[in-house]
Amino acid sequence: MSKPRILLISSHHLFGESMEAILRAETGIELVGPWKIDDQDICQRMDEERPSGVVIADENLYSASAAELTKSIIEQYPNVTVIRTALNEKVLRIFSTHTLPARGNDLLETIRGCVSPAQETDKANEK
Amino acid sequence: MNKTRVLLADDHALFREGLAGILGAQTDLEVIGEANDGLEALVKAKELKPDLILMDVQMPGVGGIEAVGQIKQVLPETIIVMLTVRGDDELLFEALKNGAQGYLLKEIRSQDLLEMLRGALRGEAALSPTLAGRVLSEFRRLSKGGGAERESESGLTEREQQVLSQASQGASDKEIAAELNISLNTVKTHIRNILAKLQVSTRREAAKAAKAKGLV
Repeated sequence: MSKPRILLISSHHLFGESMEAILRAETGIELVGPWKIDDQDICQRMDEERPSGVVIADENLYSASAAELTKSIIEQYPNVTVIRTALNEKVLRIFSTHTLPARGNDLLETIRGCVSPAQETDKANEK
Repeated sequence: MNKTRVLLADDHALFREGLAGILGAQTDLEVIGEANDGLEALVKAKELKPDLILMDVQMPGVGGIEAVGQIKQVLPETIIVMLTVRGDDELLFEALKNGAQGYLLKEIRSQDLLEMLRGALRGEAALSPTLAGRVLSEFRRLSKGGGAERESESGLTEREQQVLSQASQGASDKEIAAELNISLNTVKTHIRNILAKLQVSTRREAAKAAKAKGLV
């Protein structure tokens, strides 16, 4: 059975590696990354990786770089859900072109509830 | 082999959970407890007597800098390494003066963090090269008679008195940060420390106490 394919992007190495430790321990998720948030070619590389969800772990929930990246991803990949977490906030924020129910601050529960398995996303992209 | 017993103190539960996973995967380290703020870190440290505490600087209530001093008073042998997003000079120096063995940025890679922690356990300073350089500069400044920070009777450092003076005149945290050329987070930490040292709970009370004691 296909799992959510999650791309992890972070602003700080240790924050990214901490998120990676949590996500890699979860057998129900396929993880790509972590990548650095200031990498120039994230959206192009996403074409190859085809994630069904993206977790952006930034220093600040309102950082301009995270906001810009979220906007680019949602515009170019409307079926990809973006989940943002930040060192200055203890909540998760979900960005999607679909309406989603509110979730708590449990990252894994949020992914399970809001991110489609990878193959469904691929099919949607091919339409 | 006896594992090093580690207490993690950070108010960001997700980050703390991941960090615990990274440390727990090491054969020589064991995470024995977690704390959400400085007060909880102090309570758990007294109870669990960890060998090493990895302590976030910015935490609600009792912050990391204050907690270091309190923990070192009761557990002088415990190694404490600070972990933070920014390397503000003020907080760096205060943490080291309070007894921290190291001060690391969250930009660090986990492999380097682990090396630094193991070094700290051997008695080395866990400082990134940039922060080590700042410590050297401060040491040189002090040894040239640049004036060590004088503490007032209430125990406020010179910088804390500057922050209090601004706050007493009604300046916001942002305005204080701009005026003193320090980060907003540093201002917030100073305010927390000032309130604790003057034993008050609001800025207004701090301003009153400061005027009464002739501090501003």
